[in-house]
Amino acid sequence: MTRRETHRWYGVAAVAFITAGVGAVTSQPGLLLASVVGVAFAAYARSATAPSVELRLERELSEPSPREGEGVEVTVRVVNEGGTLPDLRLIDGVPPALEVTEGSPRLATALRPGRSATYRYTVEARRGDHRFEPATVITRDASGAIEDETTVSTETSLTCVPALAPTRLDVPLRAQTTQYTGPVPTDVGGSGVEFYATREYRPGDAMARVDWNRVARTGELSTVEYRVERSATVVLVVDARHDAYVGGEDHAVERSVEAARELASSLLDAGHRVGVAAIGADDCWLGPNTGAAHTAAIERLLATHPALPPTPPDGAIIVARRVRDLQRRLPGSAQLFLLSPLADDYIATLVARLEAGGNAATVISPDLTADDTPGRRLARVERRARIDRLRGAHVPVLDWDPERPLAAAVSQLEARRR
Amino acid sequence: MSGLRSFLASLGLALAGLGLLFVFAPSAVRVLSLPRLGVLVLGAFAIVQAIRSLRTRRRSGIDGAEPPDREQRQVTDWPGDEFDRRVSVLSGKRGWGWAGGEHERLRRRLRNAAVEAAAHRWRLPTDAARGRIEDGEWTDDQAAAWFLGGPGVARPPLSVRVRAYLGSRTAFEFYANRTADAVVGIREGP
Repeated sequence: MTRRETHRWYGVAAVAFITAGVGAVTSQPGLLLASVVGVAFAAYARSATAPSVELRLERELSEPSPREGEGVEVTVRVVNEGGTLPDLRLIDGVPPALEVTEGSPRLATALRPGRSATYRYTVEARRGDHRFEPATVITRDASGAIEDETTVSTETSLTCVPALAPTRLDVPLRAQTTQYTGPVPTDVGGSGVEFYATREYRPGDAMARVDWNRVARTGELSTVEYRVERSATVVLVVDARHDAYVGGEDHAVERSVEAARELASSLLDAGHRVGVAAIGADDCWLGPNTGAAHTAAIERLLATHPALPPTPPDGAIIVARRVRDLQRRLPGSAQLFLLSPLADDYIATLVARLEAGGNAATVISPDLTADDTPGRRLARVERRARIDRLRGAHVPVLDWDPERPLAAAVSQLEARRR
Repeated sequence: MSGLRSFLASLGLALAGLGLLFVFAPSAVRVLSLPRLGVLVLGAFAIVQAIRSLRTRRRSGIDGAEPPDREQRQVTDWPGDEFDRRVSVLSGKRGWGWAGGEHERLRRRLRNAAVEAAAHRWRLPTDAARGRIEDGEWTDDQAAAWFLGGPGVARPPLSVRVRAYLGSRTAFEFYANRTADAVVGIREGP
């Protein structure tokens, strides 16, 4: 608890002294008497004592597990279990990633012993596991001369897990595939749909794959080969270091998580194996897999994992350890999608290391730069230089303006590749 | 309430009671029979106390809790905000004041960005781009060229130097911002 004197009556004491002094020096009894009023106020303020604060807080949510964007009504009840509080101000501990859309989380009232006050406000649900913080309580004595500031808490949490909605994203995969059949065309001939080449007939080749037109023309037996299609193993890696929390309210980590949701949904629908990792405050790894249970696990991880908090994490992040763990766990056949705002040089270094380890990488970078100060303009050109460097090293980079749908940016990347 | 406070409050109440008594029974004042000099001393003491109170009030202002803003979502920085913050607090003169670690770090960052921008703009190898920066031949802005250039680069015109040193920002901030904009200019220029 912090106790402080507000000094709001010091002016009155000065006025009282001046009128008394001038009254005495000039022998004006009226002036001297007038000072009594000021002296009374100053004495009242000086003799003030802070009321004891014993409050109980109760908090109730209209829906503890809402959908993203849904309004959640928060009902707060504060009960005075101590003495009379002539001036009580309470500011509820709204989680920092949530916005109050209706009402106010503030209360100003007076409370007699045993009495309570109730108020309501509405917050808009967003991705994450949001714990309400302790409410701030400010109490003053009746004169307002002494003020106490303290907190009062009760456990409340709001969890919002957005679903992986079906999307029609034509994810541009690189040519690193698994041995399983899937939708990625390879440079290997065999059974498939798309024509690849013809070769000399070998005993045992299926009759259906014999090029009968050529036999009719030249009398030689040859076999048609189709482009073999394989599935891919993809790991989506979200950059959640402190440096990635940039871009105002809807920061880059939030945008990266949104993109990861879209990518995961599309890739799983296309039959690929998808894993998720993060380079952030906590160890975060979900190995590549498919299926409904895995889809639900990805939804939950992207929404609530401590490595992907909706607000910048406290404390230091040992990035080197996270990268070591990631490299150790990555299957050799996996390709990576790195989601990062490229706000510093680190991701370019990381991509080089991962590619050297045999994992093809594609960078998806939400552009959250601005141009209204020299520093912001400088950061924008520095980011462009990083993108140039990555592209120069043949790493595909999707420079994504988050104001536009991801699908539009993805089709641009495809066009650039062709 | 402390013992001293109780004593002073009691004394104050007693004196206030005495004052009220004199209001209703002015003849009782004769009991005190305070000489004129004594009254003057008391009055002067009260005026001194008034001045003391006013000075204390002016020094401390009104103190009070600053309730946190809970209505809005937490806002993160934009890329480059940390550059703006750092340059705004750095001062000193080129040659000695700017040789410190933080000044040098910021200049190195600007120099690297300028080298990359020059290499991109004129399709130069990195070493050649670095040479241009060193020679001050990468921008028309003489302040930016001098800020990143070697000892052979001409100083900016007097009018620019006067603006740098007399403006509301520190000279380092003035030159750093001019240089940042010059780098942006060549990277994004026509």
